Amino acid sequence: MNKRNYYREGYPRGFRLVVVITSAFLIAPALVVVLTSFNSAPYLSFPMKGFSVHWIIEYLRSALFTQSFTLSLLLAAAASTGALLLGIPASIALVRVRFPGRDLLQALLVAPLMLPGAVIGLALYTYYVNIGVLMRSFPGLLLGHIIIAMPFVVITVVGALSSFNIDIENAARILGANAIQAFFKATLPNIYPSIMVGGFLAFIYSFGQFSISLYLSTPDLDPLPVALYSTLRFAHDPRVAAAGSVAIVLVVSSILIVNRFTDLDKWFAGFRF
Amino acid sequence: MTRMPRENKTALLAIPALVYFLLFFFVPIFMLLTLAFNPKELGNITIRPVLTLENFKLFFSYPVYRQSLVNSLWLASVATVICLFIGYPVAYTIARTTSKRIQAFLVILVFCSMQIDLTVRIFGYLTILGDNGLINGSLTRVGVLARPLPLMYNAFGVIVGLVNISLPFLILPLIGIIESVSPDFLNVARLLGCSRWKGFLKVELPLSLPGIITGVLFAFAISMSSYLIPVLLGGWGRAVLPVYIYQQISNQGLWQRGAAFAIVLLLTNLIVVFALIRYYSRSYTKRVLAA
Repeated sequence: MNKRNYYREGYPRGFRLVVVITSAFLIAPALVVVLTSFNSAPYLSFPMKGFSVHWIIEYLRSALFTQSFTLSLLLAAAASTGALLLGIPASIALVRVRFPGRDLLQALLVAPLMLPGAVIGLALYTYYVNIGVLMRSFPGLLLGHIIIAMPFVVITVVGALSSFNIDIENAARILGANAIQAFFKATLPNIYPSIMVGGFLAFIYSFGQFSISLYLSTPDLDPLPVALYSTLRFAHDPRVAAAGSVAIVLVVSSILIVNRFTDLDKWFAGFRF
Repeated sequence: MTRMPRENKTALLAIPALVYFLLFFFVPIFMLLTLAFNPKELGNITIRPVLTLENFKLFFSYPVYRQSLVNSLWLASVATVICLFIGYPVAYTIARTTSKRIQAFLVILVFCSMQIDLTVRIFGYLTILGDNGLINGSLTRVGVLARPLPLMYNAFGVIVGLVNISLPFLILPLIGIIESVSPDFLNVARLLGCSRWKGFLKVELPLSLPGIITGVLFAFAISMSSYLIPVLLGGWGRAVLPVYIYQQISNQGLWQRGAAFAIVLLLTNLIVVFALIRYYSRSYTKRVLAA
């Protein structure tokens, strides 16, 4: 069907306006944070008093950055790696085989996205205390982050594998590759972009995750969102804006990179409950 | 039949993830469930073999707690409905636009707003909605307002925040579904004399229902369970269930009660999810039968 012909008459009336307003609504908070972080006034104010990088430097020097930011980065890297290592094989099984309980397993792997973070955090904490290990420790925090990162990997990779033409892998098998070779030489190069996307999304989600960390972190083990919350709850600290700017730059640039590799709009397309 | 062994082997790939989720997701949730039925004991979190319903009774006998559940429900419902009305056009535009640039812009925008730190976005809203914030600050300075509008520390502020966090999760599942609805259906409707809006409402919207359901489920579940937004944008007057869960635990040290409250939240979420899915599959079957 000729898309251009059809869309000459455009969208239902009013859609465009809604889209413009919604975009502004989504952009506004990030934009304001970036502007505030360059404000020279020591308090939260608008319009800006003057341009300065004072708060950014202040932030880069503070424990917020040197400890919490680094911890979050490390945590997110480990969590997304863990989620990929567990999630990719599981996705292959989910797509390729009809085994009993398949739908249930898929629902289980995506469930953390729909459950309150507080419930997962609290449940894990209870669990750690009762088994007597892992509470208030980095591994304990990491195990929880792998749980919440998993849905992003599974949604992405299941989607990619369902739309992947299995004949390509079968051709490799016919040409003499064994199952593992065929997967690594034929399938993996084709779904590689999606794996990257899944890993990236898992990474950023873990990086910004608050609720789980709230229950599993310790005062000397505060990931960035928890540290920011503690700062923000009692005072308007411009360093929070500076931390935000740095995080925003990180997120926007990685999303731009991811978007180069793949059609992000198809992200959810291959996935069905 | 000769393929069976190979398929069985492939199924084994799911085992690490399955074991991991059983160990660190299913068992913990189950433990939380058990803890909720233990009598309350200050500062103790170990599970004891004494079962009681007192924590749940307490929840439903205090108006404050009941009210927090009601607050959670209606705030999440309003936020979800708003999300649907403003999110659908965005998903529709992403799916249907012929301009690669508009599409890329919107997709990147949606992903960024999903992935930027929640605390950071809330900080942005504090700056925009506060009494000396962007809106009130500029309006009072120009002289339109004598005193600042109450945009924050009330239901309005919370709903703005909730819409912001759940919108991406509503838009993303919709895009693929709308793309999969062939434009030919709409063209036929148009040829038969439907207006543009009527064609959309009668043809495209019903066909994208599976995406709407998925998105609504995500949006509702996420809004229901948000702790940060009601605390920072709503203040204590708008106490919702997740706030009391944390309060029971961190302020009072009553883990059993916190667990019970968490279970109430979990069950409410599950009931809504199942009700929606049931409703959807029933109305879907009905429509198929009618056709």
